Amino acid sequence: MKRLIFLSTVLTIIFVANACRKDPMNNLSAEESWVYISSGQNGITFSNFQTFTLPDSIILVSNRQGSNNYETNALAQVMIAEVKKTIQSRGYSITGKDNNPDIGISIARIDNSYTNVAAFNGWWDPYYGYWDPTFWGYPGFGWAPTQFVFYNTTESAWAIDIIDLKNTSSNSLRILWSGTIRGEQIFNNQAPPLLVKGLFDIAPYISRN
Amino acid sequence: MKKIFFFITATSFGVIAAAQQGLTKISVQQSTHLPLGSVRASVDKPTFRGFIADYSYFLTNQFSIGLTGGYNDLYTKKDRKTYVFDDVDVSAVKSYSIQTIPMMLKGSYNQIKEGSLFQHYVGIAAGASLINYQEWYGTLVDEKSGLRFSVMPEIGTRIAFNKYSLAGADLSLRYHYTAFKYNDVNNLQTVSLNLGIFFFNRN
Repeated sequence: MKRLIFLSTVLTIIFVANACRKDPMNNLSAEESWVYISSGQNGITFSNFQTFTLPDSIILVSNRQGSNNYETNALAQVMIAEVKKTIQSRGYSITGKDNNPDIGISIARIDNSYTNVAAFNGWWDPYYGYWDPTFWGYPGFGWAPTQFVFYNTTESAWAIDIIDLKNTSSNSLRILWSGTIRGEQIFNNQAPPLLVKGLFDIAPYISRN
Repeated sequence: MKKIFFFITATSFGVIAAAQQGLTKISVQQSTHLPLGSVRASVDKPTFRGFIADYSYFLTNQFSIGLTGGYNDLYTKKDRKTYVFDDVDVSAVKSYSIQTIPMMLKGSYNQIKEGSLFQHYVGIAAGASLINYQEWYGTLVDEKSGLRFSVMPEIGTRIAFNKYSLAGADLSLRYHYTAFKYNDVNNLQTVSLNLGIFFFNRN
């Protein structure tokens, strides 16, 4: 009887606790989930550059669709157009790859998927919460009989790099600036205008003026 | 017959209400937590998502010892802001999610006034709290969890439903301190206002 009371108390606490938790992921809109990461100015004077070149395709880094492919689909076109428009609005003029551009811009789409396995150490295991993952809103998590957890994670990101093509004295190309965009639905065709604006808004120093 | 039964019950309960020694008391209350101190930089809004559950045993009429547990959830979503780290600038909507599950031993002093519906009490609890701290940048999470030392003084009052009742409303004010340190949080401090019900139980 006492054991039953204890058990029902513990279960009640867990159910109530789960119901009473405000899940940060569920309370984010797609746009709010976007994280813009910029490598910063690093003392570079971006007004020293005048022309830029932009390839007509994007690089696809993916472990499910083969790596180092190039994409020219609708999404790629929208993204390229948006980056081109933004860089032009900052005072740079576009030119062909063979006309000695000052900077090159590379756009990469990163779409990786991993299957992970982890040992489950018990209900206090800090990584998996306090109890069976299903209690915590992760019904996709599974149990193997040997107390291992299998789960899938995907890594989705846009990476935009600005490469110095003006000062190439040594044998290596220098990346002047790197920007990364992560979040939900960033590969939606409607997203690039907002994504590119968000990323370049935190890098106002990329400008001719 | 019914009247006699009621009379016996009422008188016996009346006697017990003034003599609590050897009784157990169970109390369940909803908690409203207000963050204090360093945690306010992350979460400054009060939360209604909390409760406590108490079990006490009366050693004498005044002193009781027992167990206290509970749960509370702090959550805030900030507006989009650019955060500057050593090498990078990050623009993100940041959310904080902090859950606390205390498990503590408690000692209380209870004031008895014969014939009064009110019974004031003071108590102090010490033990551990299971903390789950999450700092989200969009969907990227920085997480820390663990068991930490906790201490919690409280004052409160129990209001019996009537003179002979062994049950009633329980109202308390608690201060919670947990030695949890991570990022900007030096220790986790909240004040909670708790309202619920209690009932006495003979073993």
